[in-house]
Amino acid sequence: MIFLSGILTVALALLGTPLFIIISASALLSFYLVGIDSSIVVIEMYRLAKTPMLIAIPLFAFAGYVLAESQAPSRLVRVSRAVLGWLPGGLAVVVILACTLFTAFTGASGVTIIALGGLLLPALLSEKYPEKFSLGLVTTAGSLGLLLPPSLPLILYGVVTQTSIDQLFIAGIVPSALLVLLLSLFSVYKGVETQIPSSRITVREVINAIRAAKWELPLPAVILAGIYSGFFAISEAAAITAFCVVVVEVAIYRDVRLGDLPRIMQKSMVLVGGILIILGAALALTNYIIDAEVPMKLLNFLKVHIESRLVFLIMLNIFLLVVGCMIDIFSALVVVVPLISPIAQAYGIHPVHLGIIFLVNLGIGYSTPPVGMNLFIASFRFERPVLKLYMASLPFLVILLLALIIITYVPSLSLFLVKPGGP
Amino acid sequence: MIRALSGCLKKGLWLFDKLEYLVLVFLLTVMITLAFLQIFLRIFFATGILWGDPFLRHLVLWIALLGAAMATKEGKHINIDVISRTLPDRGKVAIQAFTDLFSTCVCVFLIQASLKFIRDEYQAGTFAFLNIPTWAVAVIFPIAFGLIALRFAMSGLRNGTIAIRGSAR
Repeated sequence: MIFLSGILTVALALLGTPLFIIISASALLSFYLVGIDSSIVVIEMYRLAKTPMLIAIPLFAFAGYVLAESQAPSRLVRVSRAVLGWLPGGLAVVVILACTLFTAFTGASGVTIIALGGLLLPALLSEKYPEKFSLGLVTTAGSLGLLLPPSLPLILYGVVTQTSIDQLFIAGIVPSALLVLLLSLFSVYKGVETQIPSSRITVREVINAIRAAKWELPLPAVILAGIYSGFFAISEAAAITAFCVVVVEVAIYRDVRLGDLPRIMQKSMVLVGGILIILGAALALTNYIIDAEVPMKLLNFLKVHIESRLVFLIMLNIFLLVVGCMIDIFSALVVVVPLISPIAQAYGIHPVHLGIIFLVNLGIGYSTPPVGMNLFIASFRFERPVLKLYMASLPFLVILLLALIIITYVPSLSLFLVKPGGP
Repeated sequence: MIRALSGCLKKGLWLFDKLEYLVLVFLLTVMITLAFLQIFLRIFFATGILWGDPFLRHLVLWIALLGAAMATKEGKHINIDVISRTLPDRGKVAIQAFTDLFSTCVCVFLIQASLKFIRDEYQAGTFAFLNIPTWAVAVIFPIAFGLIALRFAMSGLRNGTIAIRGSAR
């Protein structure tokens, strides 16, 4: 019976049934089978109103959508170009940094491709970067910002595992820097190899570009400083961001009309509703899973086959890559994390480190052929065949996988800032 | 007669959609303002509204559920589309009709579960915050699941008809 319904559920999920329906159905059925009243499912969903951190999600999502509709992306690109354009491969490095920052603020690499891609791809092509390189770059660079504040997926991981979100954001710094560094080195190498002339830095343009963005540049600085110093809680940082973004984009730059705000609110809340309803359903299912000691059973099974932490991590990496390219990062987090995190802890993996592994992995999965979501988004956005994007993103994936291996197998990279003196 | 009736129904649904939209926008506006006010008060006056935080958290719940209802209307729920993406149009519509109907059924059970939750909370007489009873904030559950069920049912019927008629229009 359980086995049969399990297969049926997976089949329904693969056919495209919304995941919150799948998860709710599993929870309802599981509790029914053990004779617990179905109202438990709603009791668990009501926990959405008892988790203070969650306030950050609608606020950041809304702010991200407003930014995406404004001219902020082009001002951001202009500043980074003025400052970094002199490097060989400078524009490519600009792409990496701009995408990283933008994804950190919008929490979704797909949004970055749509908001920044249309700006960055033509710029790259006009500077004679090879098309394949440019496509691969804008498709994969978006997944770099997932580890930096105020990234929504990292907040969600913290909520699901009850890990300190502040610690997660601190732990994300070095791994993000590593990812950015490796991709940048590759870009500089590519820039030198294809002999792309680097633009000269002019003080005037730097000043002008910074002046044009003077109302927006302080925001990331304030948010980062506030979060890292512990002066703001994440939800407070979200409140400040949402409020300031509206004031700056609507009242100061007038990029977004006041009349557009309700529409943007609706658009962003459709995303938030989609994520949080899955989280609500997953809270119920997780409750059952923990009660039924499923992670323990899974662990006992795994212990027989997997002895070392190393092998476990390899399996985890592969598993998450597959998951990452099948389902969206938010649902992957709320569904998979509760199952895996007790097991990972039994293998001696620090929950903060596990969070970093999850996000890097799922982020890469997003751009992994054949079904990574970003490839389809990019294919749609840039009007190129998906096959071409497969080929284009391959070299970048190799680099990202290399970084993933380092991040996974050198835990201190993530943890040394969190716990001074090493793990 | 039938046409007039269906026109009325359409009008009713349209009004309902509009209402839902306005409520969602209103709630988010309140949330942004109140959340900012809270931190403003904390930093500059070292104070805050006592019921502000629980109120904000309940706003999250309401926004989440209304957002989910809206995601149903726009067909924007997060799902796995690995298989459906590769299917021909007609097969896609047929499968969608099927998953829509399944989703409707699940939502009906969720409505039932939320009504039981409300009944239990009403009998227990618990409070969410201030003097507001838990059952009152929980009414959003059956409302949202009702809307979601209704929309899945309508989408299921629409897709079902298309699949049977065999045209993708």
